[in-house]
Amino acid sequence: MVLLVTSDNVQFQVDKEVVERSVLIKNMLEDVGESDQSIPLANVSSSVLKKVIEYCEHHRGEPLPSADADQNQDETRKRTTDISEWDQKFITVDQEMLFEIILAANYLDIKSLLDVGCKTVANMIKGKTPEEIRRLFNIVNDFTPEEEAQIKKENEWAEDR
Amino acid sequence: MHRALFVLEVLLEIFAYLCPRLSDSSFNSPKWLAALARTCKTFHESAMNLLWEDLDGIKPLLGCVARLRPLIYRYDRGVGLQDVEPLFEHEARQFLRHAARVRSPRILSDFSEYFHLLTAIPIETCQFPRLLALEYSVSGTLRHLPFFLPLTPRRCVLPVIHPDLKYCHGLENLSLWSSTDSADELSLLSKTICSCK
Repeated sequence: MVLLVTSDNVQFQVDKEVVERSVLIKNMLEDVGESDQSIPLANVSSSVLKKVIEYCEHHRGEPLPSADADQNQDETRKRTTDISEWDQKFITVDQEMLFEIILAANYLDIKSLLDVGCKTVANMIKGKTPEEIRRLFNIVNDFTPEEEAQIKKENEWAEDR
Repeated sequence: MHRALFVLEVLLEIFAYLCPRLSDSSFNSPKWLAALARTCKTFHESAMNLLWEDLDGIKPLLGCVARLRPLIYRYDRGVGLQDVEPLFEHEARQFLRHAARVRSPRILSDFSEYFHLLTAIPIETCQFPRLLALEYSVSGTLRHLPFFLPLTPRRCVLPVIHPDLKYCHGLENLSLWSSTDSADELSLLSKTICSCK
């Protein structure tokens, strides 16, 4: 078992096999060797880590993508925004939690979880206008009307396809 | 706006799912990346780079030049591009700004009609510094090909072998439409392959 300590000082005892879905933690454990020391996760709160562990528990034993293969394929691999039924249900959370899971997956280096989160956000963006995207994610429009009009003109070939 | 949307690697990961080239969905529209490019300054560069990396022809690049826009988008049906003066220096800069984002263009047969517009750009300028793959479909002439051949492309699809390919040291994959059977062409092909990865 591995002891993880979150940013809000909550401790989680997790199976090594489960926690090693995080490349960051896997590498840490390999570097440190057998140890009873806890692993502090300063960037992850307990509510988010609980969700991350739930995901890792469910996907326990599934093959991990190799770092080399992933890097090489990144430029050419075709991405699908399809999400499995379980993952879909898992990621049905409020927007704040969705982005916190994405940040945690990025920090802990859990590629498959990062994919699920990013696909979900991509699916939310599809078909929306800039104004709708701003409303959805509470984004301030920091372009002047002239700048925005100029970008629209430059991308005219794409706007009507 | 959540802080996750300020993390570049997260943004690129999200946007990649909306990119027609990187997605396996034939329904992905470039319109979605165009919308992201207009959403805010944080999204702009990443969305623009993905949007412009894969181009069918270079007309979209010419469409960035205000003087040519009505002709490119057919607002002004009376005048063809062949009757238009070449790009001025400041217009060439506009062209090059977006050309620097292009990674895999397909150069179509109508390119010969408007190549003269680009004569202000010195041939030694690397117009497409991020070029990764080139599909050149201009049959009959290869005289404009050097315009697209910096040292960067890894994949090329060409009608026939071209001498300048020997300068493409990063080339990994070369496809030719026609069979090369003359001694000269075979020798040229051999030299090109020797200089490639």
